[in-house]
Amino acid sequence: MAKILVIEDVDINLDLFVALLEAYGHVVSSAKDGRSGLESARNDPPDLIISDLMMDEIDGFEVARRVRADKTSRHIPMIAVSALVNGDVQRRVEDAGFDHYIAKPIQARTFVPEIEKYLPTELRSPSGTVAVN
Amino acid sequence: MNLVNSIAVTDAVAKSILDGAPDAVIVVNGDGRILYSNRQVDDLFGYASGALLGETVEVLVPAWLRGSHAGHRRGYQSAPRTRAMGMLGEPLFAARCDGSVFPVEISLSPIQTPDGSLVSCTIRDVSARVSIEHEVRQKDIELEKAAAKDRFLASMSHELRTPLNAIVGFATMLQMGVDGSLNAAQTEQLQKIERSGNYLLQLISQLLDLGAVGAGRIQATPEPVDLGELVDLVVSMLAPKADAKGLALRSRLNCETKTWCTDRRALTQILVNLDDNAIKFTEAGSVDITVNLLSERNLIEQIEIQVEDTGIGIAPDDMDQIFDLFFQEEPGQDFQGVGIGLHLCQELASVLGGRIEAASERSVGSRFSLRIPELVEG
Repeated sequence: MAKILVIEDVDINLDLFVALLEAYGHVVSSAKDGRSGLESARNDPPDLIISDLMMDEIDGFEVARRVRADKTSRHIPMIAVSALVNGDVQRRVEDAGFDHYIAKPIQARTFVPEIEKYLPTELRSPSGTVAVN
Repeated sequence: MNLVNSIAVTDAVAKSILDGAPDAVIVVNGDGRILYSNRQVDDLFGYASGALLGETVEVLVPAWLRGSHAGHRRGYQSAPRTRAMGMLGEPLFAARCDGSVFPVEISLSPIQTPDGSLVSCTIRDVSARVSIEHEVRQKDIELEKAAAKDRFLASMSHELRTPLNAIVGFATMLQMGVDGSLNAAQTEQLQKIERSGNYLLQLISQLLDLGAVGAGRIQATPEPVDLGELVDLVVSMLAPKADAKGLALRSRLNCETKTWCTDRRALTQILVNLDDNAIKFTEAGSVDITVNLLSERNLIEQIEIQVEDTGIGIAPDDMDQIFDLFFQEEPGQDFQGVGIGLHLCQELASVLGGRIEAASERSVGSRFSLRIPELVEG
């Protein structure tokens, strides 16, 4: 079980990520913009950060740069999840400091196992199974 | 040498210099009457030699500017000074004998003589330059339009993918049984939502690529590509689809050359598309991917990648249209595509310097062969 921070400005997509991550037994905190995401990452450092890219004011790229620039958070694995797919997004995502990029729409069956690769083994869900309610 | 002779010689020399000058030159007096014009004036404006002498300079000005020109001229003559070409910033306009108008630049210099002050005007036709500037401006506008279209497509893609994320995501999650198990009918309906969503996604991606290819904005970025690895990746991406239909999806590398300098993304996209098609149109049997090295004498070495299926095949009459945009063999079939995929593959193949050829027999199967040369790493 890991503590995962999700930064996503579209409510319905935030709901999806939270429901999906919780189904695997993770504890999720959520933020609806870059600023509160950064505050949350600083005040209560999670085990992993999932962030959208296109957000007003502080976008996902800037979130990654600031997380990487801060001593307390620079070690946290970061996954970009975005509907931005054109051109050189992969390179820009890496340059900003993300560890991995997943395009929207996500594949719900493989999403959590895919992001868990960036967690230490002991924080992954037991054999990657869904906890059915 | 006496003074009179000296002036006479100077006149003749000046006349010959002026007639040989590249620009049109006129001299006007205080009333704006033309006292002298060189040969270029007659050529440029279309007058018989000497026909302009004694006319007011306004005959060389377009009709709609004549009134204001006379005013400007009197203003200039009250305080004459040298004015270089282009000092007004924008081109001026002149009128030929036949009334046609063309852009010019004009320099003015006052000449003081015992008979009063004259003005010498040098006139240069700048049509060619103005037309080039116009073309450059036009090009800029086109580039800006293309960039705006790019931005529009990218933002449409983003906006469409965002709700699709929730549609497909929740439909899948329900099937995963996270919130309780479902009966068979519910599962089937959710599968339909998920399939439709994924199909919509595929269309959005293809339309985006089509827009980019059509405008020539996809260019190959050659790099050494491990062909075995790439084919394995494609197979792993499509294996679930083949498995679901009970098809054997196999690959074979028939050459020692394992790396080939080409564009990884375009090649992957072509192979995914060809394999996806093969699986879609095959109900039983297999889909085989084969990589061959073609090295015939006197020909540049090419890599040939074949995708061969045991599917329904293509009717002979349709063979020459299958790469056409929006071509569908049986329109109206659920999720059989709108005819972008193969067209896009062929366009991408040409980005890689090659092409795709198809062979098919009804009820036996189809074989698509991509041949590409090795590109130079950029």
